[in-house]
Amino acid sequence: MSRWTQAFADTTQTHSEATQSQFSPNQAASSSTAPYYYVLDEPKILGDHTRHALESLLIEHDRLTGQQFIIAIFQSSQGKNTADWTHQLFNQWKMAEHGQGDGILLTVFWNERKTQMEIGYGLDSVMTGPKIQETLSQYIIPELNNNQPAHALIAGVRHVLEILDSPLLESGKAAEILQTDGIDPKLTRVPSASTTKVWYYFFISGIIFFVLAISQILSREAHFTRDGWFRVSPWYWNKEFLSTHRRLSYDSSEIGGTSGHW
Amino acid sequence: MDIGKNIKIKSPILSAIWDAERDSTGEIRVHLSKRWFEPDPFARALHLFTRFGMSKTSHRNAILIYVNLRKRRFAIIGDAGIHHAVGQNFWESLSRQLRENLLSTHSEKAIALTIQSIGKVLKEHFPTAKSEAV
Repeated sequence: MSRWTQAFADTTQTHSEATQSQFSPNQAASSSTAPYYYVLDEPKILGDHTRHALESLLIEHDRLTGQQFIIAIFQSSQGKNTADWTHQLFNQWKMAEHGQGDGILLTVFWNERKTQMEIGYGLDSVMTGPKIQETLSQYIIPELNNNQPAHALIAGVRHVLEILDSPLLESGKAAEILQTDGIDPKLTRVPSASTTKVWYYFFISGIIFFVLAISQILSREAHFTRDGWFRVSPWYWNKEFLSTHRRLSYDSSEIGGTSGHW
Repeated sequence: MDIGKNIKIKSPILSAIWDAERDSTGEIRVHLSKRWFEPDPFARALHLFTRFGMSKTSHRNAILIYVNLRKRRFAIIGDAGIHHAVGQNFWESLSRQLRENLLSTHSEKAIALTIQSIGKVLKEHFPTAKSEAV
């Protein structure tokens, strides 16, 4: 199965006239108004609770801040360029005219495995390119790749609300809304695949180090001389090795000896 | 040289070393190991030989017996002086003797018996001035 990818729209184009494209005959594209409850789920990939929770969060956030955040999930872009389509939708739904141009449109194209975010000019300074990339690449796409669209969108919305400094978070209202719909409010930061990989390698390295340490400890050595015998600790060896390493060069061509086993 | 905690326990190896070195200028040491990974015991023995400064004896007659009890492998190293005196055949016969002893008896006792053989050679080739006078 191919991986999810992200694409960006140039936010400076939000003021341009919407081009007359031939929309496919699906519900959202033919509608000139944004989804009433701010979440459009055409392929029905979200459960009712998740959709309701997202709707509540986004509507409440708009009510408190005037910032409109819409999520639109489509089954397919039907061959259209997903970035263009998102941009056109943004303009068609007049999201640039909402409030102070504080609109965010997050589109997900399920068949093409692409996700897109369009930002209104009013949020340019807050939802910068790196922030958008961070939201998509660390919060949304990893969970989409894990086939967890609900987690992806909850985590993505949560992160955007953090960036926007939404009063919902500070007041705890966001957690309440999520809990009301049976969603764990701690489902916030979703570790990205790269972070998970780092922890995975760190864990494996820890196991290997532990095994080596135990084998070192168990590999005790004893040295006998005329003065007695001494148990030599592994860390003593390492310290001595480091300090005497340069003096270990010795011409062993004249020595004798042998080895064997029993 | 502080290389660890000095534990004075009676051991056949210590007794054998004491007896072997008593009337000779040679030095005998034994190193017991339980390492899991030991591809070359001879190389390890040589490393230890140098590390413990056994190559710095005046007559170059130090001998190190290295035994890995976990891998059941051993090595015997003799410095230039003793090697020149006894030749490689001596080490080979000593190796056979040690192997037979390890197969037939407890490892400490087996090593002690080998040390006794070394002691005889050391007394013969590197006696102390006192033992010579006697």
